[in-house]
Amino acid sequence: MKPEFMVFRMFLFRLLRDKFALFWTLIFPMFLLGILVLFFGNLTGEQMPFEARIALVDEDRGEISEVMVDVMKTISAEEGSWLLIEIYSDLEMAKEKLGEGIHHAVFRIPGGFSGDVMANVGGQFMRREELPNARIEILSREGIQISGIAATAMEQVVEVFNSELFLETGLMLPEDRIGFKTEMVQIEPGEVSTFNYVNYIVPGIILMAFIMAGLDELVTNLTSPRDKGILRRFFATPLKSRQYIWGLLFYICLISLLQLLIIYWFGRLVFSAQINLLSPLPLFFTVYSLLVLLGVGLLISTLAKNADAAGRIGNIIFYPMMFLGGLYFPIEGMPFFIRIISEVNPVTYLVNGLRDSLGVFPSSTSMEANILIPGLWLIVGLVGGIKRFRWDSAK
Amino acid sequence: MDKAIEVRELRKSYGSIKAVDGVSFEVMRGEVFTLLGPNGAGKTTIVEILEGLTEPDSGDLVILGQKLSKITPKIKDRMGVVLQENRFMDRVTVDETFKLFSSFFSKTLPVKDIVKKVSLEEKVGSLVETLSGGQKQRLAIGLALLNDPEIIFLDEPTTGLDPQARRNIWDLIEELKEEKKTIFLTTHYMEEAERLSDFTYIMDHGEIIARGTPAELVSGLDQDNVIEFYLDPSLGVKDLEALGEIFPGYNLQDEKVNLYVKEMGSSFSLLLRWAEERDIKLENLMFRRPNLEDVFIELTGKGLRD
Repeated sequence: MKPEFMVFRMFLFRLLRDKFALFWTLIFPMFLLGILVLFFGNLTGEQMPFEARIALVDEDRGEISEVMVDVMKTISAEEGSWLLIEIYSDLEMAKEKLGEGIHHAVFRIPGGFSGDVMANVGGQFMRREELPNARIEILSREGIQISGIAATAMEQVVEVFNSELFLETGLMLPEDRIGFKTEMVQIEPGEVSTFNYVNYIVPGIILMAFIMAGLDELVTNLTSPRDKGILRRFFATPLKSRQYIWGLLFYICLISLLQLLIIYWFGRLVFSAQINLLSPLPLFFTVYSLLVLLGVGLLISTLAKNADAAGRIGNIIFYPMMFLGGLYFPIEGMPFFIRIISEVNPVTYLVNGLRDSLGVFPSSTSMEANILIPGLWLIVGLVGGIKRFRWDSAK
Repeated sequence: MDKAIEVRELRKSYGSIKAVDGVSFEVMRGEVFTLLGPNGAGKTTIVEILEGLTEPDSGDLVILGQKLSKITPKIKDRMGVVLQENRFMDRVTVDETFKLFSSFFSKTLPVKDIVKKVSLEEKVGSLVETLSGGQKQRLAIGLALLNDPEIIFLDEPTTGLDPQARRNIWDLIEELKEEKKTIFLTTHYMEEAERLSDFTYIMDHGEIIARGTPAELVSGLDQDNVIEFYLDPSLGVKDLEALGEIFPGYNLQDEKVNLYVKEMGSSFSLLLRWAEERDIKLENLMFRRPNLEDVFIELTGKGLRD
């Protein structure tokens, strides 16, 4: 039997004989999922409305544009409305706020709009080439999914105007409908435009389980046997340190897979979570997340001189990862120093990438960042950890 | 006879402390070689260097005919090791532990044969943490025998065991000796060295201070007998001076006195007169032959267990 397999088998037997560890590994994630959904979601699975924060710039101030603005203001003023309008007189100011993330999109009615629309009314009686194009400009942030969703929603608003105001009444030909010019990423059909807390939290709980696997299980099973002199006895044999580490990693991957299945099916069966982990991109992010967090655990075990030091370093890294990575609630809008922590936290990118790939919540960070930044942690952790791991506590 | 181990000018320091200071020795195949010395003498440091757990600062090592700067996995495959402190993973059974260690070697003997050899048949299904001290030590020895090693390192194998458990371990080592295994033993128990050892090096403060078979070392004292007793705590300095005049080579360790004498009868008479003149009681009086502890006391002025 290969030593890696026998090490894996040893850890598995130890787990099966430890009721406490079995609870934390297999039961606790379900428990936490249930508590969080009860507190922050609701059990009937009602969906929270999507919210589009729009900066509206009316450079026209004509009759048609005022009607559009009034209608949008009325919708915005309704309780629980998905549309939140803020009026700006200056386009540059509105664009600045878009860049700061205060708004998801800018809806610009250019000067002369009302005149162009009126010119198209009754356009079937005029020669086509003489008709001006009435256009709305919708600006969104490239690479930010929620911005794209908001822009799409505003396109629909324009279509509704076209339909209700002019096409139904026959005052305008379809080809003369109000157009819109957008600078945005194309949205695929079926993009989720509603928010469900259960779908939101399940990826967070999965990552929590992986954090515990990497920062607790891996670190403990490397540093504690080292401190007790157990590894010393192992390495008085031909066993190589990388064989021990691989055996342990296989064990942790198996446990993490079990946890993932439990969380996934529990969320699905009890709370009607609707996420598909088996699609290629979510599957990639799931596996990738586990590898990154194992890399972090390996790095801690290598850097720490002994189990006590590993515990201290682990805690310093563990709590920010758990609570400032957006696992349980969004962290956008947090104070600056918290955002700094979240920007170096690999979990921030991993959970964003996982949620975005599942379609449950758009990522506030780009997909490239979601892969590259955790990747740096992975390379440093796995490569440095395996090469430099000491099986003897520092004297 | 072939040499199993050759060590030349081995040195190892920890900061300013010289744990091993220029030690040289040879271990012949099939012999029980013993490093005898008190705690802190450097025995464990030497054995850990040979086991590959520590690297020397300098020195030459030839093990099983191979000159080595570092103990490689290939050499470890031919060695068996019982560390000074043997710790095992908890929540794992004896059988699982044997099978785990079996996987570390290229070739091993059947686990059930080793279990029988170390008399742990009744404990194969037990968790390791439920074993007694003696059973754990037998497990440690069993693990060291799995790969049918050419050299077995036993670092203080009976420390902390009760007398019966210690004898059981000695019996096991004697069986290995009969099988002509090369055994490298470290101990601070004189009786263990005398009983098991073919050749003994005595160490103190990182250096070898004597070498030879146990018989050769003891005969080097040039005394045939030892009178041992415990002193009355009320004894004065003048009384001790008088004792020293009668028995110049006497040794006092705490309250225990060892008198090294050639001729028992006349020496005992002198001792009795000295005690009667001063109305001194001789507690726990006994007569014995010199042993390795006496050799050590002669060389260093202190006991092995001091």
